[in-house]
Amino acid sequence: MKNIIKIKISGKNIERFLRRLNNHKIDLLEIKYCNYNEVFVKIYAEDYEQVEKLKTIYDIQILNSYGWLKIKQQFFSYKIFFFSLVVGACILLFLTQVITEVEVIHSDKNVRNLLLNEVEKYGIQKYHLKKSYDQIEQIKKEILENHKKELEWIEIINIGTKYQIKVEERKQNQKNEDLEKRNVVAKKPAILKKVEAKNGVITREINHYVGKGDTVISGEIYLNEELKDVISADGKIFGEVWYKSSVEFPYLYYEENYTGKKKTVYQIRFLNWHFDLFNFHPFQQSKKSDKILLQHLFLPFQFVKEEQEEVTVKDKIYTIDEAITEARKLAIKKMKEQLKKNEYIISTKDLKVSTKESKIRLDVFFTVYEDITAYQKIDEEEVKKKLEESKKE
Amino acid sequence: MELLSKIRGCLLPENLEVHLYPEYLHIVSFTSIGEISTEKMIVRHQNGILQIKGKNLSLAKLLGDEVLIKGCVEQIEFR
Repeated sequence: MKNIIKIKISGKNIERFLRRLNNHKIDLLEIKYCNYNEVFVKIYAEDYEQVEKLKTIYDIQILNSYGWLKIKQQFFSYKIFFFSLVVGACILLFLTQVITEVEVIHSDKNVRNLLLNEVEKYGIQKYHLKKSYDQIEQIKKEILENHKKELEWIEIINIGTKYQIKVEERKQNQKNEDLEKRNVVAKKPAILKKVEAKNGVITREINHYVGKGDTVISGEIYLNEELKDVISADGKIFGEVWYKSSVEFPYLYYEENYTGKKKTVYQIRFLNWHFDLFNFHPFQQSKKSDKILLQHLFLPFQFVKEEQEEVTVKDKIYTIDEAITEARKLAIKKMKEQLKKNEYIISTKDLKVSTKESKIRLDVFFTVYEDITAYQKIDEEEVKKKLEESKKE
Repeated sequence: MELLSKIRGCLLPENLEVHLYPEYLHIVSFTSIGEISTEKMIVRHQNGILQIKGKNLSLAKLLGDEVLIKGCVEQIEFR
């Protein structure tokens, strides 16, 4: 593909010039007459030099170019654009190879932390370069090797610039450490509400009263009144337990609570007036400590820096009924603090209200649904004796 | 052989060739251009000259030994 240029030849008697060009073996690929003394001619770019030498009185002007020459000219005129395009593409390519996030999918925080620390050692962390497929496979293999006991399976998935790590823990069956023979007994007197027996025989019925230490799930297995075996009983017992509690509550109640919010406010003080600067959301109530930045004997104003801490204040005078209600709430709150996950208060009853100077005293009765599971070891010698006796019989 | 000579003759014409088209006149294997005007053109070849008369005659292409003349050709004379 030869380079072609289009030139404009202007002057008198152009045909003579064209003949001259032809005599010098210059190809005129296209001739277009503009008017009697101007003509557009297409020639090969390599012939232009010779045309320039032969032109004499004629004016030669390059109008356009075609072929590779044109492409080159366009490229150089837009070189900044092309350069930016290339640099931008390189940066983009580079950024796609950079890790922006590493995520471990597992419910256990310890497992997540373990894996994050492990992959960090191999360079899989934020703002580092991504790894190749082979490297990832190698890393997976090594992590599983190093943590054979904790991890069963691991998968590292590349999603864009993020690495997602999925893991399965190795769950080992915990050996039953407590192989000793035992019964499940009640740790407090209660009315039985629910018995969950995993191992053993249930010896008490629901809604029956059990005292402290009474066996509810027995480890002794009987068949036709014959003791066959003694095992380690296992299970959970829930019962209704009764409590009585006393609470005192004042008629005059004052409480201050810090919310934790703090800020620094600059103030201009003029006589008794305080003007906060740029404090668009002032605290309703706060504890303040001042530091005077600027003051002068002859100036009536001060420039002060105040450190404010937000405070919620409860200041109330209660009637008897209100005090009783608040006392009851306090008693319930204290009782709930002692309860565990599956435990709850079934009912409450006010037993006695007494007044003492500036406060009231409230006695409350609670019935609480509570876990009363306890274990009692079965004496081995007794077990042996019982088994022998039963065999003899 | 005849085919080869025909092909060769097509690719590398040695003798003067004149092709007349509705608005163009194509001449191959000329030696030089003589007179050029809108009504008369003279093309020199190995064995003489070729005079072309017509209206609005102009050169459309002028290569080494080929010329394309555009315009209304009324008369062609071999001299």
